Amino acid sequence: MRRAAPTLPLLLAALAPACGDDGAPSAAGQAPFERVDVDLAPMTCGRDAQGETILEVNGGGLALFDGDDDGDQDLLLVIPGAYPAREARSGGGNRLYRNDGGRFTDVTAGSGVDVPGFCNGVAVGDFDADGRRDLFLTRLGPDALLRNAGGLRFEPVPDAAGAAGDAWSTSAVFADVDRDGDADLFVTTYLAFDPDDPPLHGLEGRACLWNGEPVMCGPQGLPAQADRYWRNTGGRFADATEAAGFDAPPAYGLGCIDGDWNADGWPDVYVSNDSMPNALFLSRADGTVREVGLAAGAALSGRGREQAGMGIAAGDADGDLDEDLLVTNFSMEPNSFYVNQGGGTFLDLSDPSGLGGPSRPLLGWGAAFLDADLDGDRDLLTANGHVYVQADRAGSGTRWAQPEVLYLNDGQGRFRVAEWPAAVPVPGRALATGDIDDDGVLDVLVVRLGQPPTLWRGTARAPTLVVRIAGRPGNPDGCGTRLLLTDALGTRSHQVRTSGGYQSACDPRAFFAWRGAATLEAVFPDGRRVTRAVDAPGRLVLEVPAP
Amino acid sequence: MRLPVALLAIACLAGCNGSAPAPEVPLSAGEQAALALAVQAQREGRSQEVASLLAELLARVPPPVDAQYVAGEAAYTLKRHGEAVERLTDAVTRKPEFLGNAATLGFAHYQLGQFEEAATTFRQIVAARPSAYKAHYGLGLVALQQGRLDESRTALSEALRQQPDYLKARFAWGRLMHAAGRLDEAAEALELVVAGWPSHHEALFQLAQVRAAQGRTQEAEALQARRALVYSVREELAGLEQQVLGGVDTPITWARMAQLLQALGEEEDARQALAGGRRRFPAAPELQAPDPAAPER
Repeated sequence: MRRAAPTLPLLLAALAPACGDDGAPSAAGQAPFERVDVDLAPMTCGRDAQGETILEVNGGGLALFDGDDDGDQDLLLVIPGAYPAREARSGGGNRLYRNDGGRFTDVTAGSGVDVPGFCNGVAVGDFDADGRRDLFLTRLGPDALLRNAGGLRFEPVPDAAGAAGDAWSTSAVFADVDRDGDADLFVTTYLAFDPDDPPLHGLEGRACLWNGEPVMCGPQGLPAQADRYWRNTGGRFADATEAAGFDAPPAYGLGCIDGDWNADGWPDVYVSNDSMPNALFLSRADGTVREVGLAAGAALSGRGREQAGMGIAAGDADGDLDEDLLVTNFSMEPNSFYVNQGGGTFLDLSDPSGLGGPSRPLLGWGAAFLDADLDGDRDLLTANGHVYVQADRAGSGTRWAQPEVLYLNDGQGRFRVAEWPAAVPVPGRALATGDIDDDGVLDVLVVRLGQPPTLWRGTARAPTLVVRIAGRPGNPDGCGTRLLLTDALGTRSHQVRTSGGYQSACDPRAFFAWRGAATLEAVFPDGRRVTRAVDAPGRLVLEVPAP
Repeated sequence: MRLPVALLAIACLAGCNGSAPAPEVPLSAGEQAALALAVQAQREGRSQEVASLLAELLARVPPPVDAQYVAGEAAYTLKRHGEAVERLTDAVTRKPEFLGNAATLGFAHYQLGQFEEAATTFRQIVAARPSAYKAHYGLGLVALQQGRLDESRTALSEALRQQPDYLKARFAWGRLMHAAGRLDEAAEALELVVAGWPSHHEALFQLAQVRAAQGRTQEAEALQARRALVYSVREELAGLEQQVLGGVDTPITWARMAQLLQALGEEEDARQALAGGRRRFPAAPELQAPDPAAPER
């Protein structure tokens, strides 16, 4: 038989043709965002912003959350800080900002968030069921759990209440996997990295090349680590990874998010893995899960190729009332748009949807589905930036600093790129969505490596309905609640969650474009339902009824 | 091991078939020798050496068109797709007779997500040389990715009519049939691909999907297991290839590559690995074992 691979060194390149995708990235209009000047700390991550080792290129995450229970979104910036060399392992770079009417005030001093260690990501949840949102910080080495003591003051919990672990963890999510009313914890981990003996660079000892250029080594060739599931047992965590079915093979995990993709009312977890198959843990409706990513079509690209999964967005992008998944990938790999076919099986429609082509030159990180233009469907925003400074060499087809990209949905699950207002690309990383100025329109904070995050204020102007779930202790935001709004546009859905997909946590409220009188149905995590007629736009609070 | 059309075209630059295009600017004997060495390096998969071999020629303004072409092919091999587009576009613009063999330019556009440009290039190639089966394949691939199944079917049919044993096109055909819900035809095509290209893990994945859709669950699971095994071996191979490309290889690198390729069923590639290792380390005892048997394909 004839084949195209000509010589041995060409074999792998020939074996790995890229997926294709949709047409040219012609702009579909102006992105409805404007940049707002904010005084935030720079995202220091290692020795410089250009990354000498793989530890120094991912950046830290961020959380938009109501830390003082005053109804607005406060901000935690997770800042890894200096390279954790033996002589200087101090860390302590995290910053906490109080939301004062849409402006952030640095309240880090005395808040307790500036813990030691090389911090990476954050999850928000109420682990001790006192009604306050606590913080779980992923780190290189043992993770940290900060108990919310009220008034934006946090106290470290020894050994993270049993969930410290000792890996390089990246993203985490609180979810009541066993539906017993408290917040369990899933933590995804990356790879074994010893800062005192980091992997060699480029051609030192072993060859680490990209486009023929010597580059930092990893993740390939470095030992992957296993994700962990911690079951909450009354404010203490017990390792239930194996017992609950989360014992997938070690992988280079970067992102994770909770959802209910098989529509059984029990939490599922999806994990994006770098250069390895992504993992989908679907519930068995009994407090355990099984990993079905491959069989469900959500592990590989549509043609069967492992891609370098970074961040995740979840949302009903095609308007069929189940949640789809978007995974950002490495440059020259299109973002993966896994469309839920119902029941938790997926088709990768990156290319026909128009999300593939424009994303190919980009290395994506944080991502979010949101109705940016308030036309009633879910658009997609991604933060992008390369890990190799060598990307700026002529001819690579990509760049180190890359723009945010907003893909506008035509309502049928087809996307076109909107013109982004930023003139200067940035080394983007994590992002978080939230209504920071409380004007009913989602804003976005984007982490930039080596620089302060950028705040993009949503400028679409149309009436909205903002729904907040007032949950119970252990789940104050009502995560896992499913909202269905029926109005002149039809029915739209929203899954309440705080997990942001890549080292981040986001505003859990639902933002619906208002199209006139509507019926809102809420399906709470325990399966109970509430239906409410809504006659006017604005804010609505739904209380989770007592058991 | 056979050469694809693009590399055969490069080989022709060095004088095969007596149809080497004349350079725009006369090359000195030394420059011609450098160009020939670059062509040879690209043919032998030493793409990383091409740029340095052609450094002086590429520094000219404009560079000789033949050097641009070879450097563009090498850039594509090294996944420097932006550079490949730049150089190959310049080459085919200045020397339109290159167009018939410029499928790489279309694929470079494709890799960059420039699908309209890719399709345009493939159409131009087909117009210039209707027998350019890789360009037909490229057209079919772009259409398939964009969900235009009828258009994809037409183009892939033509590619396979011209080259029935072109496995990349056969794989695309299998995907097309799968997308069209024609599972038996998809399985037939994909079986051919994995028989001829045992390490094609994407074909194994697609075939597993088809078998699962046909209700042949056990077969699907076995294929997925095989795919996972192939992928893990390929991971190690990729690391070894990096050593070769980076010039930090040892005889053990080549011996291990041969061993892994043989395990994948890639007998011919295994032989090439041993041969390549012996060229680089003639006295290495690790590379003196008899060549694996040549494949019967």
